[in-house]
Amino acid sequence: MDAHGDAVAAEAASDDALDFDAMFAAHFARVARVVGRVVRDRGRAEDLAVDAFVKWWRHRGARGERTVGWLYRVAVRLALDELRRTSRRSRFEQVIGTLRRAPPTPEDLHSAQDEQQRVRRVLSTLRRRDASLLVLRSDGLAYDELASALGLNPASIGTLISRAQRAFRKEYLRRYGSE
Amino acid sequence: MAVNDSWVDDRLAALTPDSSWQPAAAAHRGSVESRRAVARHRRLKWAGVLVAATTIFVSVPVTRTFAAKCLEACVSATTSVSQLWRADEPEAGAPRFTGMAIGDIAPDEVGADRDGNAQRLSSRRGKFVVLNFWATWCGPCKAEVPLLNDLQSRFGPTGVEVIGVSIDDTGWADVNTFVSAQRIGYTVTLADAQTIETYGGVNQLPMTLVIDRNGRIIAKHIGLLTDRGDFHQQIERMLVR
Repeated sequence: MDAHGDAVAAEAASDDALDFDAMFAAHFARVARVVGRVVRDRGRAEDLAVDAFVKWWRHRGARGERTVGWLYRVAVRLALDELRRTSRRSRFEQVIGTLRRAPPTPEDLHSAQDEQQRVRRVLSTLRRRDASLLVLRSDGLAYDELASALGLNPASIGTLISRAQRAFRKEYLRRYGSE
Repeated sequence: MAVNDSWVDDRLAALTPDSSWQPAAAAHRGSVESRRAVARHRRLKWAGVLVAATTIFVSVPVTRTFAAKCLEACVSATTSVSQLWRADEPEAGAPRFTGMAIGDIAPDEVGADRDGNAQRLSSRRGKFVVLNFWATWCGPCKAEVPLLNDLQSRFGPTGVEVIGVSIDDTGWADVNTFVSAQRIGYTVTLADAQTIETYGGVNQLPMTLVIDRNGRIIAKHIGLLTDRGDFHQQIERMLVR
């Protein structure tokens, strides 16, 4: 590459770094809080938010107008995956605990009653799209923002949210039995 | 459609993080930089591994031949599968053709030229004939045209004739278009049903037969001819014999 080419590449790399820094500074807190809705551990939520930004940086196709929506989608997916992993691990530990006949700790008892835990457990059983819709909507995203973030048709967002809510209610009542 | 399920909204409100938690981007700058550096390094490493593996794979004759054979097997399998729904169901009681075998005397007639004149192997005695059965709808047949052109131009003067026998049933219009588009530089004939039948019912394409100076089949290849070097060497050996 000639000197001019080097200069152009260096400028592009520098622009890229600036873009990333600006995006990171502007959106990190909100993305982390979206993840924090799904993942209980705050440190882990911030880690996953960083992962979402690194993924965005590696995925050149997600630049431009789609950036913010893309970030939210990836962040909420990472969070839901983490939630499912945690739920699986927790079920496994419960089975092992039952086999060993270990008595539940006070923390276990409190956690089982905790509304946050219940909601998260229900979310972990829903389809990924339904769970993503509910989480992002509860974070205050408007219909058009939801449609853009999840790559859905804006005209059908209302129907999809309604369907997701029905699925949530049904699963919640099946598990915990009261309104 | 209006969405108003406040009961679900109330449940989900339990997830709202405590307002005292304000994730700070600055605290994660170092972590981001190190992960980006790892990603960059990993990308470079994989690119290097890919280049090295490709170089080794292509430069070693054994692996290169292996790759060519894999490609050939894939093309052959694809052709066989596509033939399943192209070929008509045989009528009840119709004889099952097994195709011509090495050592058989090849049937004399190999289709007709554009003017309708029958082309015969008997008029080519003393020459080696490379008989390539093909059709305009057969993708691999198109791919091997350059190899056959090369064969004709290289060995034509030393007593080899390549004949492309089309088994298309749509007539010369399609065949002519294909011949012009692919710049076929060897003899092309169009076989009728009877000719195809005498050749054992060509049920796999492309199929290539090498016929010696006495009209006997000495090599048969079903599927794409991929390795120019091997095929040339084989022809050269036959010419020496």
